[in-house]
Amino acid sequence: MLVAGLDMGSLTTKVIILQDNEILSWRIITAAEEGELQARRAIEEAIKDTRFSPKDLGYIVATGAGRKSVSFAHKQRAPASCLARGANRLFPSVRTVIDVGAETCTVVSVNERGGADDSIGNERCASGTGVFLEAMAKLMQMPLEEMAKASLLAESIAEISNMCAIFAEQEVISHVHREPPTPKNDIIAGIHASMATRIGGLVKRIGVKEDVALSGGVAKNIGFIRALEGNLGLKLTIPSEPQLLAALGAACIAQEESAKKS
Amino acid sequence: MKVDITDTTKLDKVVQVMQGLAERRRAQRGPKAGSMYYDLIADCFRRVQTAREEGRYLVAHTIFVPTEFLFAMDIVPFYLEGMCEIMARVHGLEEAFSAAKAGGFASEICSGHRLVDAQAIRGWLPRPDAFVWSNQVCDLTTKTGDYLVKLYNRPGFYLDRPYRNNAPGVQYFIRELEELIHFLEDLTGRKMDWDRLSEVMENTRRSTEVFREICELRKAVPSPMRNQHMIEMILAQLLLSGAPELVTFYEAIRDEVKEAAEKGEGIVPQERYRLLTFFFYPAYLWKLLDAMQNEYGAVIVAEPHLSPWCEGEVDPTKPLESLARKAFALYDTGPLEPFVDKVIREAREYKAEGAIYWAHIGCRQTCATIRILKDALLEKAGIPTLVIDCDLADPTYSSGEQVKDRLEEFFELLDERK
Repeated sequence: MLVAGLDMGSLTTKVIILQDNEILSWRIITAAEEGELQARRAIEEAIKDTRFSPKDLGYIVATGAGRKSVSFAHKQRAPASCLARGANRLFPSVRTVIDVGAETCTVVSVNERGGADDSIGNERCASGTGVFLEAMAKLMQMPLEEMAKASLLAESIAEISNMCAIFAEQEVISHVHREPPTPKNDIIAGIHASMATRIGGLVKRIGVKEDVALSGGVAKNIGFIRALEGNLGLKLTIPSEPQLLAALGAACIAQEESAKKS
Repeated sequence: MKVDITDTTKLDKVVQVMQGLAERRRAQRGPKAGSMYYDLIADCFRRVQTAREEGRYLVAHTIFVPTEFLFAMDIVPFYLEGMCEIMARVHGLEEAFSAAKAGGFASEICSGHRLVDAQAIRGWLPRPDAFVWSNQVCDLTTKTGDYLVKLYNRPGFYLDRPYRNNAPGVQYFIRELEELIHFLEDLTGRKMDWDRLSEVMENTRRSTEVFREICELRKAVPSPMRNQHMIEMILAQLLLSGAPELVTFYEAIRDEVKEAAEKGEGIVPQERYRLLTFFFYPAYLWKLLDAMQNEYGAVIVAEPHLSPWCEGEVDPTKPLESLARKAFALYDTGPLEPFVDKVIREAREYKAEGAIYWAHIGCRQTCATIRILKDALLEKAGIPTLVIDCDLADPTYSSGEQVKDRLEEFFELLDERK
C-alpha cells in the first residue's frame, strides 16, 4: 500500500511517500499556507515524483507541532514515537535520538523495537534550537552555513554562559566590542558550545545510550555537531537528510497501521 | 516589617465559593463525598473567621503539625499552605504572586510558600495567636515559620523531626511533641485534657484505618476511585486530622469505592492506563485529573508520596508515640531507600503501567529524587515515568495545554508497550 508520513514543523513541512517499505519520494517545503493547506501542498509536491496521485495514498500519519491541524490524516502521532521509529528504520543500533528543529529540541530514548521508551523536550526556552542559531548568525552578520564552518577554525572557545537566547546575544555583543575583540571564530565556537551544553544537559536527564543519532535541521550544522560530540564524548550518527527522520517514522507507522487494517 | 492590620473579610468570599461548589455538587446528585469535601473546607474557613468572637485561640500551622493537639485543646487550626493556596485561587493568584515578588520572594521559591508569605505581608490572613511550624516536609518551611513569627510579632514553636527513624530519633521527637504541648498550655493558660486527646486520637486511628481500606480497594482492576479523590483526602487530612468530620468524609469515599470494587466497576467505562503519580498535582490543573480519566481512560491507582498516611499504627492511649510513628512514616525528609522500595512494591501491587512525576520547579529536594525513582521503576518494575516540569500553584510556569500534550505523548508510548 502507498502511505505517507507528514511532519508539520514550526518552519517547514516534511513528507515521505513509502510503498512496501521503499521510499518513493520526499519533500521539505516552506510555504505561505498554513496547517492543512501546507500539508496538502507538501503531499502534492512529493507525489509528483511518483506515478501516483494523492488519492492513491491508503494511509497517512501526521506528526510534529502542527499535526492536529491535518484533518485528513488517518492518525496523528507524537514526534517522539515517529523519531524513534524513523531512527530504527535507518539505524537499528541507535538508542538515543536528539532532534533539534527550528523551535523545539526533543531527546528520545529508543528501544530495540523502534518504540520510544522515554522522551524530553525544551518546554520553556528556545536557546537550544534553530531560531537561536539564526539569531546568532544575524548578529554575527554571516550565513548559517558559513557560521557552522567558522567554529571549526576557532583557536579557543569563547565563554557564553547564558542559557537564555536573548541574554546570550548580549554576551556575544560584549565579546565583539571588548578590547581586544574576541576572534569571530572563537565567538561562534562559543555559541555552538553553549547550545551543546544546553542540549547535552537535556540528553543526560534521560540518560545517554549509544548509538546516538542527531536529526532536525540543526543536524546540518557541522560546528554544532562537533560541539555536541565534544559535550557528550561520543560520535553522533547523522542521517543524510536529517530533517526527514520524524516524517520517515510517521510513514513507517502508516505502513504498520495499513498492514493491520488489511 | 510588621503586619499591623489584618483583613479577615478575605475569608468571606472563600466560604461563599466553597459553599457554592458544595451546592453545585449536591445539585448534580453525584456521590456524597463530592459535596462533603467542599462543605469541610467551608467549615474550616468559617471556624477561623469566628474563632476570635467565640473566644477561641487561633493557631496557624504548617504542614504535618499534629492538629490533634489543637482539637484536643479546643484551639482553631489555620493550616497555612493549604488554606492560603485556596484563598489565593479565590481572590486571584496573579495578585498574590505579585505581592510575593514585591515582598522580595523570588519566583524560584516554592509557590506554596510564596502564597503564604504574600498574603501575610498584605495582611490578608487572620491574625493568629501563635504559629507552629515544622521541618517534616522541607527546610523552606522552617524559614517561613521564622518569618511569620517576626512579621506578626507572635509567639511560635518549631517542631523538629530528625532525619532517621531510630530509637534516639523517635525519643527526641516525642520530647518535641511534649514541648509543643507545653507551648500550647502556656499560650492558652489551660492544661492538655489527656482524655480528650485520647478521643481525638481515636478519630485519627479510625481515619487511618479507613484510609488503609481505601488504599487496599484501589488495587482492584478496573480502578474504582476517581483521580481527584486522593488529593481531596490529603487536603482534608492536613486540615482535620483528629476531627470526626475527617472520619465521616473518608468513610463516604470508602463506601463509594467499595461499592464500585464489589461490582467490578471501574471509575471509567474503559480503563486504558494505570498510573502511579509522584508529589502533588499542580493545583491549577486539578481539572486535568478528570480529563485524564474521562478522555484518556487514565486512572491514578497510587500516589506513593501521599499514601504514607495509612502507615503507622495509632494507639489512642499512647498519643505521642502514635504521632511519632505517623511522622516517621512520611518520606519527604528522611532516607530515600525505603521510599524507593515502597515505590517498586506499589508499582507491582497496583499493577501500574506507567508513572507521572509532577516535578515542581520550586521543590528542589523532591526533584532531586526524580532520576533515582525513574531508573528504579524502569529497571525493577519495568514501567516508564513521564516527568512533567510544572509548579505547585503558579500557572504561569506551564500551561494546561502543554501538560496535556505531554500526557498524550506518554499515553502513546504506553500503547506501544502493550
